Amino acid sequence: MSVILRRILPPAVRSLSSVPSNVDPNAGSLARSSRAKYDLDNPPDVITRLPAQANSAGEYAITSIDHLFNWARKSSLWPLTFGLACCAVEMMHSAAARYDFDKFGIVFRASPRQADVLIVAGTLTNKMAPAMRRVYDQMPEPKWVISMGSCANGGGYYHYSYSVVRGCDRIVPVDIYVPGCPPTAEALLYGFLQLQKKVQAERRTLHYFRRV
Amino acid sequence: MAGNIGTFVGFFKKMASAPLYYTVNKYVNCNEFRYGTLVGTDDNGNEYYENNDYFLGRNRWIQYKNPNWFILHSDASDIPAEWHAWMHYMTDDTPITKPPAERKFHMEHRPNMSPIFKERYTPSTTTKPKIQSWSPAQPKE
Repeated sequence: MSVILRRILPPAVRSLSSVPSNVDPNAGSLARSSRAKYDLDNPPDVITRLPAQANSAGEYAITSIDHLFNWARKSSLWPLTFGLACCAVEMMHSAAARYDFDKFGIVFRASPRQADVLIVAGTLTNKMAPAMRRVYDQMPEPKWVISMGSCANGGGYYHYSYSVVRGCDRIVPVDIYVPGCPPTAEALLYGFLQLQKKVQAERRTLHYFRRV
Repeated sequence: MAGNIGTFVGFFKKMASAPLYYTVNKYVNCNEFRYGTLVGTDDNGNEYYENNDYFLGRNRWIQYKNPNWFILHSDASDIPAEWHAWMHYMTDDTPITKPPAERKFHMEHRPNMSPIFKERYTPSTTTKPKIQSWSPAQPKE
């Protein structure tokens, strides 16, 4: 029984359960911490956002659950319509017949309570910023933000204006930046596909499982 | 490709007549049952297919060299410029039937490099900052 438990449970829990004295209870976690070293001076020449790896049988099972959750989440990303300026017109185009967001399961919702993604489409002014932050706070977890267009990315044309926020990432954490002034509907669609990849690489349940 | 594949019966006729490994290969790579003629291959090894029995917008597609097994491989920015026009219905001529004119300023195609740490775009400024920030740690003069 203890053998099965040791194979299934993560190392942190494994050390609590009955472990033979000849087995180092922290072996797995030590190996993990040494692998997780990240040298900023010598960045790896590989894709940095690789999904976390599973170490035990239990973590493999959890990762499968993560795959299932991620598949469901990325297949039905419901964005909130937060059109602020001319980018909103391109956002509407992407939802219309030609670039049909609906075929990716992307359906616009009018309420932040039902939305997964916040598309900041347009110039974010100082006056609008607290309202946007409130809308973001009202969205349920997990939530993502797409910054659409130059104005939302970094102020854009209005960067030196007295009344414009220089990038919506000063207000909310942004996942995907879509460049352009305004970006085409195609560019927004590409941004959504990148977000889908990002969602697929998440391992929320695995990280939770390792924490507890 | 003969036969009206757009119809229900035509699709199953095609599926029955095609070799099984072909069907399985297409489904694994494209996540969909699709039958078409190979129009051409680009430098990266991506294959381009066409079947006009499908309606417009579905009749041209790409089969990536690296299918989406490990999440981050296949990407629409892998399509080079000469195939982009054909894929997006700007022209009906493929670069096989009508090769693009060669110019000395043409560069080699690069896909989206954002996922790669060393290659990704990192913003930097080249001008003098227009505002001077005050650091509260420093004593005031």
